[in-house]
Amino acid sequence: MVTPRDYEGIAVIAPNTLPYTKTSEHEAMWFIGRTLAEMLSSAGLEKSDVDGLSIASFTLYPDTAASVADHLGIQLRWLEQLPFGGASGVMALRRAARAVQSGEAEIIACIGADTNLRGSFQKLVSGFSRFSSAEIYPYGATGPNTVFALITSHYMNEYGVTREDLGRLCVDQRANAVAASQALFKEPLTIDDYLNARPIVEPLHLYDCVMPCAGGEGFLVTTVERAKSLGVPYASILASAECHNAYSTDPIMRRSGWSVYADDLYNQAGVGPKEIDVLETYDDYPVISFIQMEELGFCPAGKAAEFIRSFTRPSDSQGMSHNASGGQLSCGQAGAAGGFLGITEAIRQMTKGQSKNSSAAARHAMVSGYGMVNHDRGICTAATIIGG
Amino acid sequence: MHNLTFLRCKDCETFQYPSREVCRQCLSDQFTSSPVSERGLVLAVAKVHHSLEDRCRQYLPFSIGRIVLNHEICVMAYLPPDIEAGDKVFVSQVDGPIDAVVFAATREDDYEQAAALKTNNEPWKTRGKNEQ
Repeated sequence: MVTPRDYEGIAVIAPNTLPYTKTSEHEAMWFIGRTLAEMLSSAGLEKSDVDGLSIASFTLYPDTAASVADHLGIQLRWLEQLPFGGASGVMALRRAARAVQSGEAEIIACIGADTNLRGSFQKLVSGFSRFSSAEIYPYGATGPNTVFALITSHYMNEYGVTREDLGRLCVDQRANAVAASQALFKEPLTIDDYLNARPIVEPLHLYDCVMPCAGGEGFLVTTVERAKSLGVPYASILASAECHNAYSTDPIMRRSGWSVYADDLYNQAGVGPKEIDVLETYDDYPVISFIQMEELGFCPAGKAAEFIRSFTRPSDSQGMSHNASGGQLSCGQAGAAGGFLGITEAIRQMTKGQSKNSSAAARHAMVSGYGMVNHDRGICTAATIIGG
Repeated sequence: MHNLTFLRCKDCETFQYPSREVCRQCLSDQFTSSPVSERGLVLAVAKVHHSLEDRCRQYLPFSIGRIVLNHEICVMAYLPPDIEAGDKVFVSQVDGPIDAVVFAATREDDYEQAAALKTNNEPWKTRGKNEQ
């Protein structure tokens, strides 16, 4: 197998979160444009400095990334749009890094953003893909909730995992959200709150499900040289990988692409799971975070329920924290921004002082993405290890 | 009992579900419609309490399952309330609550309920004892 080259000379800067709202009358273009404006302001850059753009947005349609260049008045020599849901952020990062590394562009803005107009979520899920419109939506019109309720139920039965085990993850993430104080859900969550919450699609109850909302997340990829000349803190990419449509013949999802490349990630980064200080998993549902932890080598299959008891707070100088800003389960899922939330938080954690909920001792972060429930499971996975 | 039919590649004989125009195994575009036994095994069950469509809301709560048929074809199916993972079921096709043909399943040894499915006694209209 060919070993990919390293990411020497690449800097990831200017993580920005445009505050989330439950609904919005703005269009997706507003969220993309304002996220870009905030990123540039935080880095001391002008719009004309940006020569590359990578966009992920469900509600941008019928517009495209080309429309973004037109609306926002930017001339570009590198342009990309990623329709990969929650894997888009990591995929944007690794593509932008190679483009900058090879000199195709110097400053690439990577943005995931979506609006949430009333009724738009139902429209999105009912027409999400040919397979899901025909063979999933007619079963109760629940969006992905039934798909992941079945996956959760199967996982719970296979490994003897309880609702309380899964709930412990939600409680832990909420504690991080409370400390970070930028999430839509900022009140502490107890395990009793979790267990007593109303059912949505059993075994999933209210706090197992992310809240669709509006918002934006973004970061810039550039050279170390440029980051230093700007005088801004930057994170480095130590490793990254992706794998799509893995184990497609499994009758129900119980694993996905992460296990295909986990060893390669750690070999490329020169660190192991024990050296990861902050882990950002894609938490569309607690069971998927559990599966990511297991497949990415943090614990054996079926043992995530025990493993999560070891999590520390992001501000602790020891141990590993998880979903340091609260994850989507506490922050909400602003469409495609959900795939970027883990990266922006990981960059903050690695570039000391940008988050009030971080530790100066944290050196390595891992971000994992998952997306595009084309039929009965997510198709896309991607992961990266970054360092501060 | 009528068998279910699914698309099958003429060249490599792989079943295709969901239907598509190019074989997922060999990329051929030549297909036949091939019968598959109605017998299936329940892999997992979920109970729906919240729906995005009014036409489903009137029947809440109802159960949906993931069923594996022969040839490793896996389908969603509406279930009666008492089915659990590991149960053996008969699967039929019925008109669903939102303008689509859907799969519905009954317990394998419940011949009466299986026959009732053929006359459209839809499982999403059957609530459990403690919901009535």
